[in-house]
Amino acid sequence: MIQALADGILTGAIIALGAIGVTFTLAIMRFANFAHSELLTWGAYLALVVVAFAGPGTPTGPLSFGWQLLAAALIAAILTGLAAWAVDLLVFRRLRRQGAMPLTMVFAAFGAALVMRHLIVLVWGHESRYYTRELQMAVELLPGVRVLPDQMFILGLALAAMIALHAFLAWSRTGIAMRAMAESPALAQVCGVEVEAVVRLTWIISGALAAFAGVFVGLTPQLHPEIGFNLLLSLFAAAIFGGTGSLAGAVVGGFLVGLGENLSLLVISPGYKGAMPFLLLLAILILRPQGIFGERK
Amino acid sequence: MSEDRGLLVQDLVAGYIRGLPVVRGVSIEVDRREIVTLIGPNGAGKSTLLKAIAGLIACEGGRVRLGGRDVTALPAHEVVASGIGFVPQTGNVFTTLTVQENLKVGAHVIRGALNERLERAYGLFPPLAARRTLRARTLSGGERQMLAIARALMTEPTLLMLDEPTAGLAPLVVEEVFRRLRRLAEGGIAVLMVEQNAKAALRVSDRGYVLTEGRNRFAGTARDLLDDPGVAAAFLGGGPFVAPRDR
Repeated sequence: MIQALADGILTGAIIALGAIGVTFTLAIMRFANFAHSELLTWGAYLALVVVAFAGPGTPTGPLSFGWQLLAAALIAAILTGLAAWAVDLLVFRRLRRQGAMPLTMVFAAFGAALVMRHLIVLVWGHESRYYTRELQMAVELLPGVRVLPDQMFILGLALAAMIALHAFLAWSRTGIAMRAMAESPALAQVCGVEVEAVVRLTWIISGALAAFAGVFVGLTPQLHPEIGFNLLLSLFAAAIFGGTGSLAGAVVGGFLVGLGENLSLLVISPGYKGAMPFLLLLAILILRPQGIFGERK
Repeated sequence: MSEDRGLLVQDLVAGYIRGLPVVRGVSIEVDRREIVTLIGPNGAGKSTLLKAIAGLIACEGGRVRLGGRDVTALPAHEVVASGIGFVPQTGNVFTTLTVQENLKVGAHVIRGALNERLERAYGLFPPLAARRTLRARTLSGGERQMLAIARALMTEPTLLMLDEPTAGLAPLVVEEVFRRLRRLAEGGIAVLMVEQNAKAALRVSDRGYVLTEGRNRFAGTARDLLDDPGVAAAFLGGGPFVAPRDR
């Protein structure tokens, strides 16, 4: 039971990082970006490229990797942010300029997702890959609750990223402009906010957080071309559960979906684990369609 | 041409679809320290003209100058930076942001510290000061309008444009808004507004333009337009009754 809680919180942190990007795209660009999950995969593999050159580093303390992997994650975050922006320039911005309907954007996103996923398969193939082959002993945190030091580290890093993002949105002028644009792009433009600049920043932040999530998935324990795609439904369930456009919503939604998936294992067979985000999604859409933190439109 | 010149629009052509202009060659002038009101029937292109000046829709022809500088076809954020503040008719505050955050977004193009500008805005509109940490959705209609105006003034613009600033406000609040606009004009700003409430608006204005079908129809001092029987019969009839008062 407590073990399932611990696992749920760890999965939840990863889902939350990805869901933040989904909710940002929904709020600022106003479409459901089904290619977002592929940014997780890209982030994970881009970090793999850096690790291939630099190595995962000698294990530091109880962790299975050294500072090199952290640097790799950071570089991957920057590259994935830029990649997300590049996909926007290549696909989404062209459609925006033509005044495309949100549904057109969604289909374009599906197309982009396929291309992005198969580019990974093309380069790295289908087999699983590892950042590090170091074996790690689980630590008994509480009686009966075992977690890997890597997982604890990931949780801390994910929480730090969320807090930093919250501070940015709450207090920086660019952050305030982003929230303004989420409410009304037309009025933001009247105020002198450069719409394309906010769009660019949104992609870079979303891509960077997705990359962190991707690296974290890859660390526990391996990466393959479907790591992002397998999380797609969880990401959207979390974003919608929390209320689109809400950072706190995406975080809380992420943890709830993570917990829901893992706690469900106590009562139903693991084969149905994948249906849990869908059930949660249905429940929130019936009970509170705007999500926990969403504003009723 | 004095250095004090405000807005000068010459033969402006603009619309939402290229080749189908709504504004079809309008020329207007608004000097600093004066209030100019645009009146005319629905569809005359009044709001479209404001949007075109603000850089929100493309200009297909003509010129817009501000203080002698050409601002035609600049992107909206550069128009804001060049000194034009715009208060749209609806949805003119961010309801999910606090009062203070709204003002900060208003100053988005301004680099450097904002404290002085914020304090100046609260000085101009004291009711906002008490509500600075509240979300704008909690404000009354009059307070929202004050916030919208204060937000547009954060860049210390040369020209303030307002689209129906008194729509939906109680008569006492309408008077309050007009009084504040008068004071802003006296402070050296050029004010250009579109008003459904044409009679009341002309009473606080210096001059007015009547637009029909996207073109200039009449122009004159506010007094002349109010006294002209032709203008009164055609364009000043329908608005809500506001008791005449001296200004």
